[in-house]
Amino acid sequence: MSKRTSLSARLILLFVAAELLLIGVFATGSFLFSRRRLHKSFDTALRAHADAFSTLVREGKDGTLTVTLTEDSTSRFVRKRHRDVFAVFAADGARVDSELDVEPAPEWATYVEKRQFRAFTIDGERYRGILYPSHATLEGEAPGNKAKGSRITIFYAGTTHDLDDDIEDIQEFMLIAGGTIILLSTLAAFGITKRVLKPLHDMTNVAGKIDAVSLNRRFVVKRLPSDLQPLGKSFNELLARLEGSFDRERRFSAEAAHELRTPVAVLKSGIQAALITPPDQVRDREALQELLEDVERIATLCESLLIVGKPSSSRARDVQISAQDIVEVVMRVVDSLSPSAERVGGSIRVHTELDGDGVVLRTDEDSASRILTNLVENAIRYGGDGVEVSITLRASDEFEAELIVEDNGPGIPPELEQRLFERFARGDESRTRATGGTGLGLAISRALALADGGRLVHEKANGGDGARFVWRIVLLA
Amino acid sequence: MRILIVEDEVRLARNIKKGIESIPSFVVDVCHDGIDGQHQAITSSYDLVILDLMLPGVDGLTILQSIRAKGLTLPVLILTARNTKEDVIRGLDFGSDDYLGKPFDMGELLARVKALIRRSHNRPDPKLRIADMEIDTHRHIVRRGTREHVLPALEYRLLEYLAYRANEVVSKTDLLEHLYDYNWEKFSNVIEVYVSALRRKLEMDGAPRLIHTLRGQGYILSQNPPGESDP
Repeated sequence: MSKRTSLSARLILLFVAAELLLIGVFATGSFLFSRRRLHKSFDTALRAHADAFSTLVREGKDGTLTVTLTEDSTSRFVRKRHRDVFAVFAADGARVDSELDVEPAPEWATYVEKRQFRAFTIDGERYRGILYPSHATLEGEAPGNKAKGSRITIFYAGTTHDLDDDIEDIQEFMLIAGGTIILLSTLAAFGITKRVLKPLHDMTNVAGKIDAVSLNRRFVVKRLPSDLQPLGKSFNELLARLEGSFDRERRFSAEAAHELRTPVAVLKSGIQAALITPPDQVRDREALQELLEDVERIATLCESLLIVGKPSSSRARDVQISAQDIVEVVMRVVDSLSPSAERVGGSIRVHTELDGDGVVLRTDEDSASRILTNLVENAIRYGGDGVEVSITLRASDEFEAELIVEDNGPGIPPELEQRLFERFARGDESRTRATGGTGLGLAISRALALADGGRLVHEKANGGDGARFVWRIVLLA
Repeated sequence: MRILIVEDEVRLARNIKKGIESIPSFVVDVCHDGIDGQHQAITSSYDLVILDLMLPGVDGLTILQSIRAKGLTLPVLILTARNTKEDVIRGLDFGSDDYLGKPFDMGELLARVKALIRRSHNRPDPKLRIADMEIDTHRHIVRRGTREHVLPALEYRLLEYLAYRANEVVSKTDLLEHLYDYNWEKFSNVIEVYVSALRRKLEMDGAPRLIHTLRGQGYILSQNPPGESDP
């Protein structure tokens, strides 16, 4: 049975095979049994006939043996059952009298000992016969009776015509009855299989109709047969998971499209506005400069979208960075962001406890720089005037290092805390471009942290209202 | 015509302003947040508002509601990145006159703005005709008799505004409010200077006067001098 054979076909095939075997064994068995019984009773009757027949053998004065058929005996043995055949043999093997026109084969003698019956055919007529050694006392005793005390052997056979007919009838009955039973039960098996598999087919139909817009459909598990309930349940769970991720993807693409529309609108309107006004070298150069900035903004956004759009699985590659190198990254980020901190009257302080040779962290320069830049930028952007950003790098235990970015600003509003790391969650609901956030910074940072086996969490600041982000990095050595 | 743009994306607002002001008919004011925008829209006289939906402070739909609640009938065009069918329907149902999704085509935006202005003055024909004068609001050319005039922006704007409100007395305050953005210092005698310049051009070859002065009331653009008009 190939793997592709349908379940119902398999069930039916198995059923029919089992049925054939059972019915075959049963029918053959009962047929053989009946045949044996019929043969047995036929043989019993035949033996009685042979026995009775032996009384007809008489010995003449000269010692010759004759079979004397009286009227009575003729009607008993010949006329009535004229198909019976017989042969009488003297003790010396000479044939005395016979209605058998074939010479019994020598091996028949073996049947005498075994008192077995022998089937044979004369002119297409089938017979069943027995060699019967008679102990009968011969009538008409004469001196020197050759046969006296000796045995005569009688071969007596009856036609099995009627018997064969009966046996054929039984055989025929067995075949017809067995065939009908198999046919009917196969049909029943079809019906039953269909019925039994109906819930499965129903499930298939329901499942087949589910597409992206109907992912909210579920099986009513309670209405399924108990052995299909686990399947229904897992299917529902699968659908729920699918729906969830589909929703997330849909929301993401809607959000991404929305986020891209505005910068594209800026770019397009900028080009069109420049084209509407008459050419002017100075103004056109300025316009080009602005357009370049707009394009760069779109490019940054696209790149960020690609990072957060990727499934957040771990990176295959092994990454590592030494403590010295990560401190260098921190210093570089601080250098590049200090001017913007100073612009709002703030400052950035760095505190590292992670020194010593051979300290290695599981991340890389690029990720570290991105995460740190995002965190510090956020602190400056939302920390308010005079914000003080502090960066701490230390080993929290033997397995993890911590990079903490905290500020003394107003902190994360409670309503934002839940979706802080979601894509397009912004500190400023209005999405004012003036602050310049894409709404992807924290989502990207968390994705990068997770990719290296680390974590990025927001914690309540120590004794202040400010935001405190902790990046836990796996410590390799 | 004076248009208000309420758009928090500074760059975009500036580009739209540039685009619209390339047409001599219009002057543009820009607000970058909802609070400012709402205040401007309901206290100043605008001929049209271009409204973003997601704004800091007060959102666009709230501004739209307060404009309509004040009984202002000026056309409002919503210009937003939210362009699903539901958003469009909701925007229109809230009382806006048109809805355009970002990114948009500048040409389409300008055409829609002009169409909305025409409809709001009940002048569907893009050519305004008074007596033997015809103002082509598409090409911004004024023709009187056989003579064609390409007017300086302010003169054209003044004439077009008077033409949209033809046979109606327009006060100097009205003119100052509708022809200048709020950065201008408003001196009423500027209007007189432009009116006389227009008269000089339009009354060449002894053509009859079309812009009449109503002392203490303002101006009226009409074929018939005031007082002689039909009762």
